[in-house]
Amino acid sequence: MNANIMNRSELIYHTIAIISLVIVIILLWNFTSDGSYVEGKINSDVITEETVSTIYGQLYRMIPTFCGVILFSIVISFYLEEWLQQTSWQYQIIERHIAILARVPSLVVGILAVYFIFFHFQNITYYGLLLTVVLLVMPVTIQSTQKSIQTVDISVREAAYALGATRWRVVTDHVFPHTFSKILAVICTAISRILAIAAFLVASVWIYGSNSFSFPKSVILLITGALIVSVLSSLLD
Amino acid sequence: MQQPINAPTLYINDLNVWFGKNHVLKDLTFDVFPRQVTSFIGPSKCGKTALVRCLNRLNDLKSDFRYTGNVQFNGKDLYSSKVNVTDISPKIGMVFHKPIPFRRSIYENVAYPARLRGIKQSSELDTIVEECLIEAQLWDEVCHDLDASPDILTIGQQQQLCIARALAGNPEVLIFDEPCEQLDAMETPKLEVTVQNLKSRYSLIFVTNKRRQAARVSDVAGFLYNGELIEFGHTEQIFTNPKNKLTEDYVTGRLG
Ligand SMILES: Nc1ncnc2c1ncn2[C@@H]1O[C@H](COP(=O)(O)OP(=O)(O)OP(=O)(O)O)[C@@H](O)[C@H]1O
Ligand SMILES: [Mg+2]
Repeated sequence: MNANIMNRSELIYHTIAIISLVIVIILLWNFTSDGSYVEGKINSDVITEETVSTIYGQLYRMIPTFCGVILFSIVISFYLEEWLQQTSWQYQIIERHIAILARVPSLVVGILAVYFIFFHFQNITYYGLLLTVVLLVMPVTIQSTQKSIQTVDISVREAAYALGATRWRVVTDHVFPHTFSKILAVICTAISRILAIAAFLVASVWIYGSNSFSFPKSVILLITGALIVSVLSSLLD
Repeated sequence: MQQPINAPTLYINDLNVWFGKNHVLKDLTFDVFPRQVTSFIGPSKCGKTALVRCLNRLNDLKSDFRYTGNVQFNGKDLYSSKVNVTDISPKIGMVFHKPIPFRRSIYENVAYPARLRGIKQSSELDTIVEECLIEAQLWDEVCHDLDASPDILTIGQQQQLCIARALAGNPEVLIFDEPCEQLDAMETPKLEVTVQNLKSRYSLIFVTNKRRQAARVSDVAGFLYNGELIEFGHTEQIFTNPKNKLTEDYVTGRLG
């Protein structure tokens, strides 16, 4: 009976996945097939140093949101691993979504973000950036945090439960300290992904506006930052 | 080695356990009395671990665990919905087949169950830690290194530390699940002596796959085979005059 439920939920899941894929492709096709659509909407003269500083302003303002997304992902991972039954269909479905989203190359998210934020909506909005960061950071962060939680030996949990620890105490006293440095590494990876996408956004707008392959210095700084944080992440892992 | 007249600490009646479709324990009925060592012997995978984990509700952690029957602890249903697992678990302490010290100092390891009970005062914690380490016969070896990590201890000492930690939970029953599996020949006798010393205060359950060890440490023994309790009785009788042919084959080494 259990196997039956799994199969049905799997079927539903795959159907939804394929339908959403088709919708995404149709949307993209609509926007790209008509080249004038893009050119008609944005005027390259408008893109100046000022546009770039607007982007930075918005990015700065969103730093708390970015931190929130990262923290939220970590909390979700703990919820998934510690509170949700691993055999439940909820866990299975979330797990599969995350597995697929985490495999989407970040460049795909980046290109979509540039397209929708700048050329389609012509506005660097809060929700546009939020969606970008959610897609870019959450799946990877959740997945790596889950992996690090799974490395905690089951015997440590059992020993704690046998001494009368509540689930909450097991997580805060044992699982979290065990995974702490790995979680720091995960946070670094997330930060480096955010820095990289910021660099990508600014660089593409700059290239479009200046009609030449040149970057503002800030892009180089962002990339350098992303690289440094990646190195840090690998050191912590 | 006579049966004390007092009431059993644990009373198990017609216990059946399944993990998924796997019927691991079949119709077990026995009592565990205080101030005795009750041992369970049997070949590998016969259900010894599954049994003892039923007695402190650790099996609840497995999603496919299912049981029927009755387990009573001090006359009350252990699996009743009124029972708070967090309160009852430390009462039925467990020492696992490998020592599992937590990543904290020796002192904090032993103090942990007391802290879980809400004890914060350091003088009180000091007393508990000292008493439990003395009872587990580790105090003399670690009294100068209480703040050190348990990593400095040998495997045997780590196991004694886990005993001390279980004692700090204020148990009435203490379960040992093959506690000497990872210990060397020098450390095993010490643990056995500790077990003997604990007998005066607790109900002890000792799982082992070493027949001689069961004969040495226990007063009452049960022989498990394929999830069935083939024979349960005084250790001396089980080892010298078994009633069942399978038990005889096992204790004489012809089986398993
Ligand atoms: N989570 C589980 N799901 C399904 N079957 C299980 C599970 N845990 C244990 N079993 C089965 O229960 C049976 C008894 O296992 P158990 O670990 O209690 O044996 P044991 O006597 O302690 O063996 P050992 O001497 O190896 O420690 C085995 O057949 C095992 O395959
Ligand atoms: Mg076992």
